[in-house]
Amino acid sequence: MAGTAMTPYAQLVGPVDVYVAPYGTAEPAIDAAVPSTWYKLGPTTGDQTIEHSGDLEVFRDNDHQAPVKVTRPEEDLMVTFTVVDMTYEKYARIINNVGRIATGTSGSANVKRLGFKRGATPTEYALLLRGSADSPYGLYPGQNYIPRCVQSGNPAPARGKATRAELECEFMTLEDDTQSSDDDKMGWGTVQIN
Amino acid sequence: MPMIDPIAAILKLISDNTNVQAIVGDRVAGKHKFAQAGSVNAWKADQSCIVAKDDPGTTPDIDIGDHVGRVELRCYGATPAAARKIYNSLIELIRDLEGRTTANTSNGTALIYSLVMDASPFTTVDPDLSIDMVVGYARYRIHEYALEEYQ
Repeated sequence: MAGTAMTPYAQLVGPVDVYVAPYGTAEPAIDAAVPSTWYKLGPTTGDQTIEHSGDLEVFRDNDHQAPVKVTRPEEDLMVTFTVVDMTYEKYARIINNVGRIATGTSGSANVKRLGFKRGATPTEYALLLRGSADSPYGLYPGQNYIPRCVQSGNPAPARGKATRAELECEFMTLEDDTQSSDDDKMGWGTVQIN
Repeated sequence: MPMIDPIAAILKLISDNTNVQAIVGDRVAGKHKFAQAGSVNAWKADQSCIVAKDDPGTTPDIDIGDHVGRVELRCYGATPAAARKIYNSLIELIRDLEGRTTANTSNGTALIYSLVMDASPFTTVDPDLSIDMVVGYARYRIHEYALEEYQ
């Protein structure tokens, strides 16, 4: 047997599905299908990352060589992934919100129109990352829920002879003061255990 | 319980897939069974079949204890189109994997972390058998020991 106490399930491999919903949308139950209030923002390509960042402020004094105190004055949680679906329903949500799409005609053709100005106020979303086998305790679902965030990235879809246009997304978490626990104000992970 | 054989796990994953079965039946193995006259399990030259075997060159996982490697997937068919049809069914199978999955082998239940294609396909004729085939390559990460070891 392997010379480690770690179970095989503890290693997580594979991408997850990414959903957005209006800010205020509650986390869905992990054993239920994702409700239709959540909009699947995919498919994605490449790695999907959840970055926990926040530099430490280090305090020293004249009596010691090593730091004697540290604090974390600022903190961020960023979720990044790249969407390959260029339909306006996804493009609009990524640059601001789906209300930016207008349908109409151009000449005799039916068209959808998307205004590119992102505006001064980004749309606040709730974000859900759900994997059907993303629990480190077994072949069970796992999900990460961010109650309040905005898309802070600057997507640059490129066209070329062999280049696929893609939308690079970077969702910046905002503190959600409606959460009762301070630990939960930047979101949380939930994984099934049996 | 002995260590999981990663090729056996991949063979089981492939042979359990109903879309693949519809094309190749039970003709999925680690070594071909063509030109075995007299054997009841022999494959006929015009039958669609899959052979999966090790392909060298991948850097092993020396820290955690996963099987990490590359597998050659030979899709034999009566024509290049028939071989391509098998290959496409493998692509579909791999696409449909939603993260980690399991396969039951004679050495226990294997946990397959990932199985992804690693190169574009190669259409050719098997030089020894003179049978059309499409060859694909996939990378895998499979836990070394059966899940039963951890219960």
